[in-house]
Amino acid sequence: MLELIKLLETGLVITNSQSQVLLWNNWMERVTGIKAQEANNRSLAQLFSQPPSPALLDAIEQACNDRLSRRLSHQLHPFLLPLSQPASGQQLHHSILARPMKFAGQSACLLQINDVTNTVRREQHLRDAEALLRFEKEILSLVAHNQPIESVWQALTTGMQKLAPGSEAGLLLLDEHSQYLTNPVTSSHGYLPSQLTVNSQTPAGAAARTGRLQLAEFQNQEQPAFWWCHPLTTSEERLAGVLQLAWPATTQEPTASLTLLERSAQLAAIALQNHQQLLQVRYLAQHDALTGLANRSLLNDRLQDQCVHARQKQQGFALLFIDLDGFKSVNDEYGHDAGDALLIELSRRLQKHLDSRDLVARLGGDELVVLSQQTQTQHQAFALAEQLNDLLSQPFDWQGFHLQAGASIGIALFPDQGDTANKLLTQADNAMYLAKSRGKGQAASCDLSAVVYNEQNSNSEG
Amino acid sequence: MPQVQRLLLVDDSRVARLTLKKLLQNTGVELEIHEASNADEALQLFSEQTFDRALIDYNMPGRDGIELAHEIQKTQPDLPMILITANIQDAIQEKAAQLNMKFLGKPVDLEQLTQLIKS
Amino acid sequence: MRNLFSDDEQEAIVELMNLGVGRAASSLSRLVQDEVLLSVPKVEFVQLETAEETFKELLPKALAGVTQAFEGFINGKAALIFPEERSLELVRIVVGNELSASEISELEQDTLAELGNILLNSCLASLANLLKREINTALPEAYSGDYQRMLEVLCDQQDSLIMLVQIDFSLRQRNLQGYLVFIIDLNSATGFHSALQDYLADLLGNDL
Repeated sequence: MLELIKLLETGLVITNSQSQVLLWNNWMERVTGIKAQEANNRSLAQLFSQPPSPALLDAIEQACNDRLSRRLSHQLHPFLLPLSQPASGQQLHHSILARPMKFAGQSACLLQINDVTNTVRREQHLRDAEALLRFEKEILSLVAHNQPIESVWQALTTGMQKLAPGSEAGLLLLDEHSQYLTNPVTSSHGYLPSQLTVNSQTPAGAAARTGRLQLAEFQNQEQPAFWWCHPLTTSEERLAGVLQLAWPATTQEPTASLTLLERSAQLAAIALQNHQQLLQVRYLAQHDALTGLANRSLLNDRLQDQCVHARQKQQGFALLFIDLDGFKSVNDEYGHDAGDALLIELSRRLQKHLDSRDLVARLGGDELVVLSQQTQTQHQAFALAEQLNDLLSQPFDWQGFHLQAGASIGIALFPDQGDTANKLLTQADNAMYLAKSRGKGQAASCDLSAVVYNEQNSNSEG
Repeated sequence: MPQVQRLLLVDDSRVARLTLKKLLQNTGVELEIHEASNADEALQLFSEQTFDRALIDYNMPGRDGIELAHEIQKTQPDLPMILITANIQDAIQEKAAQLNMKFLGKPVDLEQLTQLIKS
Repeated sequence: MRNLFSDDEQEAIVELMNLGVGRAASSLSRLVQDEVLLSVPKVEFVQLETAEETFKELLPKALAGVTQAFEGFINGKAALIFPEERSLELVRIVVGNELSASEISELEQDTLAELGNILLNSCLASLANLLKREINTALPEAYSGDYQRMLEVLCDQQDSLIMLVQIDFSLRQRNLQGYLVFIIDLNSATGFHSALQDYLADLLGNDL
């Protein structure tokens, strides 16, 4: 019988009501390093440097005196006895069953100590996996529903902070000039910077420069902290930003597993790539595929906005309707490739010349429209038309050919020629036909209601 | 306090009332003990006669001890009352305290009971 | 069966159960940090054949919880029962685990068994103490199934004459309801009987 007990792969201890050991099996010897002879007749409190849990002592007393069986679970009593794994020295998680029994004629308690370390570890993994799954589901659902990117970032950082308690998560997105990293989320703790330069000597800066994961101690705002900085790249492998997590420097290990953080970075990259694709789709829907200029849809939107804005500010602006002269003959003579190349070149010239706040749109064919905010008087408008005509009529060398066009420009001013997008476009279009009717390379403005022609020679192509 | 205390004992269990009566007899205080087995009976008795003190069980079918005490206090706000229950949860002790009732856990301790009866 | 226990004895049983459950509720209330609401114990004497009908009436169809055997001056089984889908909530309230796997885990199973153990031990021990008798309790076991299986688990003898004591409890602030059930085998009721008579005799002295 006693031989059998020795073979058991579980802890067996028999004590009396004062928790003095009457039996101590081999498993206990192995796990505690205390031999049975040493353990015998000594109380559990005497055997260990840390005292056993009061719940265990209560259970022993209840078993011996009241003959009650007790189950002491690991979740309710994480530290019943100070046991550790013989090999690693790590805590040995256990649960204990206490049963009343008779031993050598006296009331005693049989303790069965079960090693639940593997169960604890397995269930921790399960919980982690489930937490991660929920987190992924939340982020991916936001992404799939094309929610505003700010709300995705907010959910991502909040989720990371939940997975890694005591840490602060944040993002740094790279600006278009690859100069600054800016946090799109308001920082709640004091750790994370809202902006820094790519060249800054910080873990985030290093991650952005090297494109590699950084895990380092760093002192920011007088608080030493550990930083985990993961670079985020676009689908074209271009660096787009850095995902970061910071926690107090008391421990080098983050409170969430590194795999979990890695997955967060993947989620962030997915969100980022989706966002960029969305921007791309939106761009394509609003721009002309050949020239990259705004299309009619974007022009309409901007024109409407501009009308509202101008009304509020009581400021004028100008709309210039451009029809290229001689474009058809370029197409006829040199082919469509030549025509396309010329359109691209002329578009480039217009964009280069105009203020970045102005908008150039292609309505189709050889019809272009310029929306100019700063142009507020007839005089300014005709001056601009003259510059544009000059620009557009400059020859362009293409595959050894000398391509050239000119422009007829119709002008409409807000609010004199119209105070809505539609009216302004119609008026500018009409003025363009008026200009064209007067010969190529002309600019004109008209007010049909007053039938007053207002024109100026734009110093034609010659 | 008059020479002989008129005391009303409210408990749905006859055995519980017997247990308490026996303990009360051992307090050495001169008592005239009346009994009711639920809140309605108790209130009926209160409408007919006066008592110096009430000992009320908490867990009773119908209105519980706290509800009964609340009802009694509408007409006799200063009557000394003791809530007696095996249900010794903090929440119930707090409820008793809010009504200014004394609290006694079951099984009743004679010394504690004596002290409360004499006060 | 009515005449097996006198009215006084039956009342004594209810009162003794009240005392036991009161203690148990107090320890549970500390664990869950909420008030535990208790019903007045219901005592019924049933044959095994009719017990099924009684169970069907009293309990939800799918059950889960903890059963614990006891023996001594009374023999039987005690159970802490929940509607099946709610059985883990008590554990999660106590352990405070916000994140939890959708399936019952081994550790949670163990914790539920311990919670049942605490409550049932407390009831049974106070019953034994008040009656000045001895009772041994076995280790609690997790249980899940319907009320018929519950009955099979609770009464293993076909000819059981049983006393069913049922107490409903719930938490004030959270929507959680459970039941404490004690099934006492009355085939060996002599010990119980004499214990109750001693208790009452002591109580009533010579007034009875």
